[in-house]
Amino acid sequence: MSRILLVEDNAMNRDMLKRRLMRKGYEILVAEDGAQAIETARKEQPDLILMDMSLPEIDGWEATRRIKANDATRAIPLIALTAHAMAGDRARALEAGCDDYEAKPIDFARLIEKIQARLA
Amino acid sequence: MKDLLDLAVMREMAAGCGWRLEELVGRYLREVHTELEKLKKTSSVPEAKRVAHGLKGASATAGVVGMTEVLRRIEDNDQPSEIEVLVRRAGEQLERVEAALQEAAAKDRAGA
Repeated sequence: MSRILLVEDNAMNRDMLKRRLMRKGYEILVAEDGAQAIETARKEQPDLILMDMSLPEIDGWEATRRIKANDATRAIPLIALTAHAMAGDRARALEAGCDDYEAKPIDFARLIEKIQARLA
Repeated sequence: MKDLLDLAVMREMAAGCGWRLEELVGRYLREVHTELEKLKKTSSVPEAKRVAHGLKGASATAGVVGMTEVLRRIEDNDQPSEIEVLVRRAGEQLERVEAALQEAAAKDRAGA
């Protein structure tokens, strides 16, 4: 069973996405802010990270840069989740080290395709 | 009700989560009341924008489209006095949204 680290500060968003992913057969770890995400990624070595970019304290952009700068976590595929479906955000996400990008509200079927592609 | 709720999105989300529509409605209402209280209490513009951003995302994802516009306006605003007015409007809008949500949940119960 693949383990996914879901990083999302909004409780309802986190709960909805977690449940949907669990029902698809994934084991879900959660982090509520950037600092927790960095620490959980290092300790738990998930197979993939879903990172909301709007987080308190250390935001998703900075957390992604730190995860990708660390030898212990840089190989973990990371998909950015942002609320802005703008071309600039995609470029910014990739520049920060994200492997892929999905705009909110999330198209769940498309997100699953991206997850499966990264885990293959 | 159509301008307040996207029932197709709500039903799809509830089914995807393994919830009845009523459960989604209950969870959404708990979330929106909690976050709106945070918006009322905070004097920090960045915090207000962050809370509005998260709640806007949760509302859109849950199909509660009637809350997204006022939350977007809070998120995009940098003036504390204007944010205060918009937070009051969000509270007023929530009254309409909550009535629509309760009606949708009641219809779902009746149809079960």
